[in-house]
Amino acid sequence: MNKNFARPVILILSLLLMVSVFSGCSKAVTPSTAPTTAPTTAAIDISKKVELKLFMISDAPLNQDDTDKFYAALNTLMTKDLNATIKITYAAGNDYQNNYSLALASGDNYDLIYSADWLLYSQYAKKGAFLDLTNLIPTYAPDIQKSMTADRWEAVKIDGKIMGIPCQAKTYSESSFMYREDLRIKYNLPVIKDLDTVGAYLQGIKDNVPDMLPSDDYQAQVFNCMFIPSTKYQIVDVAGDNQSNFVIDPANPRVLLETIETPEFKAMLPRMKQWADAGYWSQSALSSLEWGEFSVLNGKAASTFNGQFPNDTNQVPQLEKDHPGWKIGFFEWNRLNPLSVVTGQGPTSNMLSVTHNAPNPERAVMLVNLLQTNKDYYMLTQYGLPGINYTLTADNQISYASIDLSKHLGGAFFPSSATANDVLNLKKADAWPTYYDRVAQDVALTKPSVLAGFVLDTQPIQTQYTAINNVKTQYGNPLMIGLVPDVEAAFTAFVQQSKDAGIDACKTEIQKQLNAFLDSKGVK
Amino acid sequence: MRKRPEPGLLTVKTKGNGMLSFSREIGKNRVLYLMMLPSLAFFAIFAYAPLVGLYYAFINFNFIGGLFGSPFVGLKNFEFLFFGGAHAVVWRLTLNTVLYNLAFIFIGNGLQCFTAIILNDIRGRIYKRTTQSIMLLPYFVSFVIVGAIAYSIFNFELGSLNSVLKVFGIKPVNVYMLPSVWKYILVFFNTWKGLGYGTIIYLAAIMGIDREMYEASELDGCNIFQQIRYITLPLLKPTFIMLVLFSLGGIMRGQFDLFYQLIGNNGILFNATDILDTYIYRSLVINFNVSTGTAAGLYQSLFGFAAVMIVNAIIRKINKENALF
Amino acid sequence: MSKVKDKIFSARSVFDGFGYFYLTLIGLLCLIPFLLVLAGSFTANQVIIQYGYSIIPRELSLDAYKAIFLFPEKIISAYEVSILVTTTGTVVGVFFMSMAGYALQRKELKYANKISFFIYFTTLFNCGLIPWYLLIVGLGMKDTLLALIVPSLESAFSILLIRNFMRSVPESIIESAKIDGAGDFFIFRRIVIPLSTPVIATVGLFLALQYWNDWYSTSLFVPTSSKWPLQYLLYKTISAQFVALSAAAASYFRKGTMPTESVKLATAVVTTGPIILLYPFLQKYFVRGITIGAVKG
Repeated sequence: MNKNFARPVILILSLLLMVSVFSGCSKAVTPSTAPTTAPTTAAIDISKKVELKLFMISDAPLNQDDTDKFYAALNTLMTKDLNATIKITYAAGNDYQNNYSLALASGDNYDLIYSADWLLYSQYAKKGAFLDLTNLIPTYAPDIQKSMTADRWEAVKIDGKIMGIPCQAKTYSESSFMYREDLRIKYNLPVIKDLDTVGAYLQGIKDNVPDMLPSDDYQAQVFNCMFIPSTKYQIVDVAGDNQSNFVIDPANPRVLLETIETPEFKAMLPRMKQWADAGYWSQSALSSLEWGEFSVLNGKAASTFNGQFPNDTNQVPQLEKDHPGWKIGFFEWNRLNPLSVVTGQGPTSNMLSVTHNAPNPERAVMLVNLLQTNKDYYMLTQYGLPGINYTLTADNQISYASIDLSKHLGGAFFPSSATANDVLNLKKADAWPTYYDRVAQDVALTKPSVLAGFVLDTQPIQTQYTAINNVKTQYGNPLMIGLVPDVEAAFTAFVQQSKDAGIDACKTEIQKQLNAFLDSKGVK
Repeated sequence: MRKRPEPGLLTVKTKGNGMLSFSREIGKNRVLYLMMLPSLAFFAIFAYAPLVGLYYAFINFNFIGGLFGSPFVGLKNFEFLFFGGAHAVVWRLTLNTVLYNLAFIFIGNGLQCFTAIILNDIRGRIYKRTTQSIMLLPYFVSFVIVGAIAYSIFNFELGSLNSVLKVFGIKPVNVYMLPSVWKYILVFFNTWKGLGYGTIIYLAAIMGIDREMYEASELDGCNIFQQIRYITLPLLKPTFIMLVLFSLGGIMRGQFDLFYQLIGNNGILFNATDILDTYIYRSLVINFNVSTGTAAGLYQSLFGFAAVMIVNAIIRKINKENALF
Repeated sequence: MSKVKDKIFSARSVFDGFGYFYLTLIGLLCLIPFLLVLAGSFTANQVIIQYGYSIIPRELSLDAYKAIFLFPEKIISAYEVSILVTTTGTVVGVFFMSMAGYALQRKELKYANKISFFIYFTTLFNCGLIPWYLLIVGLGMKDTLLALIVPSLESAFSILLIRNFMRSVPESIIESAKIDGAGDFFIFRRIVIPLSTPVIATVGLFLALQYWNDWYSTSLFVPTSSKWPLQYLLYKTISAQFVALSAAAASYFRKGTMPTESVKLATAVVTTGPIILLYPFLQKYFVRGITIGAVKG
């Protein structure tokens, strides 16, 4: 029997299905080009009532009552100003990459979608996932247009087009050594100011508190968090947590360097080996899944190389209350080198984009304008409902003292970080005592980035690029945290494997892209 | 399928006969075909229709063009696996994946079969039911938790293994730097987790054996081992073969959660523990791309497809009844 | 007692001795990790992070369960959804699959083998998320419980398992029923099903487990929270807490004191519970098929 009678049946069935399913999809694609064609200077027409759809990478808020009240409040504002309402889709937190890709490919026609460099903004933008907003912004987001600085617009442009609206908050997240300050004082260990004093601290813990890990971090975070800030280099390609394959010296930006060929890289390795041998971190670190800060906060380890300043200060006041006598210290790794490049988080780290098939791009941009610059919208979307999610102190600060945050968490309703604005931000009453001073110090260190607006396109070298990153995981990580018998041999093997995997081809391509970028900026 | 000469191929006239015999067959057994209809419709809609998505593997996907409007790129999306020709990473990964799966399949099925036989013949109803329930418990413990438990046993400084060794004055071992032991650990955990589930299948199969056969054999003076050897085992063979064949289709699909949660990104262990799924996962984290993911999945499918077709054909030659199709 | 009987008897004791030893060993291996999980769910989170797992909780704490049952009224409605989805899906799925399995093992069916292949083939290829999503949405199932039930109704594995089992039903019974004038469906319902309870219970259990544990379909297709089954609600509860921990924007949380580890363990306990209760009930179907004489009579 050679005729499978089922075959024609399947064929017809699947054809029918596919036609019906995918025709819906392709129909949705067509209007995407329309709005970009002409910037309208005519009066804005909002006579038609619309519902905007927003896609957010986050889990839905749990408290349905709070959520309902929040949407009621927001929709009241929006109906009045925009003749529109909003519907938010929350995507599951893990598996976020698939969900994100699905949201853009599915024909669900979201108007607004959260975007960020860590969500591969540039890759998606280059594949046409977002709508070009360059011509919409002057008309539909006039307040943002007025207040946003030019360098922020430049930084988010892909091929000269604005594909996302960045926030207007200067955000900092500096890798830091986060450690138990009380133990340092108790055992009379030196003040932390460089790698030698860090080593002395770790040895002191090892000697005095045997049932505590001196430090605890997963995989090669020990090295990754600390290495780049300890040098004069700036990362060109961010590949994984704090990792890079290529760097430049901002003083000489046209020379692309492989991270592993810099003299600093090799010079750091013996110290890592010595520290690993001395037991400053777990011999099993490569398989660990523990976040260092959790280990410190729960008393398992004395320190982590993967602290974040200032974000991690948020739990410190509560912690010091729960464990009287505990003190937490932070040492920003960028203090290791006066030439360390501190830029703060770039504008692409928090954005809202309009999808390529958005039914109402104009209204969407108008909404972003209000979210970012209008005080009523701002307070509601950033902090939630007054009295329920927060209270306002007499000196106009946000306080959570009387709020049960496990039930009434405010900020989770909305991608609020994407519309944050320093002008409208309020201070938090219960912050870490020296929080605002320390942040100000870090702000003072920041310099504009030479690479602001540089978007690496790995598409042409996808194969080799994937390969060198896998080599780094397999050969680099053990070496970087000193878990190899012979540093010299392991280093040679790592370099050789990277070459075999095609690091030279990657370098050539990235150098080309870098040159083109610097040319366009007029940098010598 | 290949060897029998089929008259339908030769002339138009006999082709007509083929159609005729088709409708006659359907007419004759219409109740039976009707009974299958819901299932056939189900698979046509939910399994065959979405296969159109395999086309993603051959395009450079962009959002404007979608599935049918993006440029066709041939086999370019497969390159990341096969880059390097004979030294390509895919060969080592394929070997690892296949070997692990073979170990999982045969050790797993063997033990499940063995356990089912003992469970079936052991006396004491309460004991039997209790152990059977307990064996199902690991199925509910997710690999995230298994990974955490394994880490708390094996980690060098605080792990319970080294605490025990210390008591006996033995030098502590760093399991996370010993690639050679992980094959056993992974096989152990996988077998452990699937034991209860698989045992149920074999137990059900034993229940299908006609009870009179045992009664007759007892009269003939067979002891329990002879009964197992001459009645139970031969009659479990079809089930065993079916389960093995079924697993062979997924021979290139690793237990991603098992490997990822137990090993993580520990490069030291990769030569012994890296499988295709973990490699693909790490690649997609760096470079997320629908097309690349589909291409990798297609490679896994085709490999499994080939494996099943070959083994099924062999089994068919030996005994038609035991073949899957 | 005859000699033969003696031999049978002594072989039996050897078997029993080994059997009890083996099963107890396996039982312990399976039980201990679960006890670790159970104990861990009642342990203070900080203790787990600092000291790892232990069979006896070092420091009793109900924090994890408090975190899970933060909104008890939601849990009840989620239980209802879970039970509805699981029972509907299992009953309908098992019915369809046994019909197909029965038909496929009938020797007079010329295309049985081709159809078996047609069904098996579906397990080999994985279409990816996007076409799958478009299909379910295209069928109008988005935001309905159908999206949770219908796509998981059948599995090739179960159908072929049923087919294999039903092959062991002696042909002679079916033949004699046919001679008595019974139709195929009658034979299926009245003769084959009663003889196949072990495999039907097995397939039913597997399907029920799958429905019960599935949270992923909900995350894709059902945005409305009143339609969430238990697994998804728990998943959300946990991950919302994890997200709360890592959200940079609204980052004022008692991160250090959130029961992250113990919550994971407590979730495993809460979701395992009902199925553990279901299983002993199913076990009564794991008896040797009714002797054939009984059916004939």
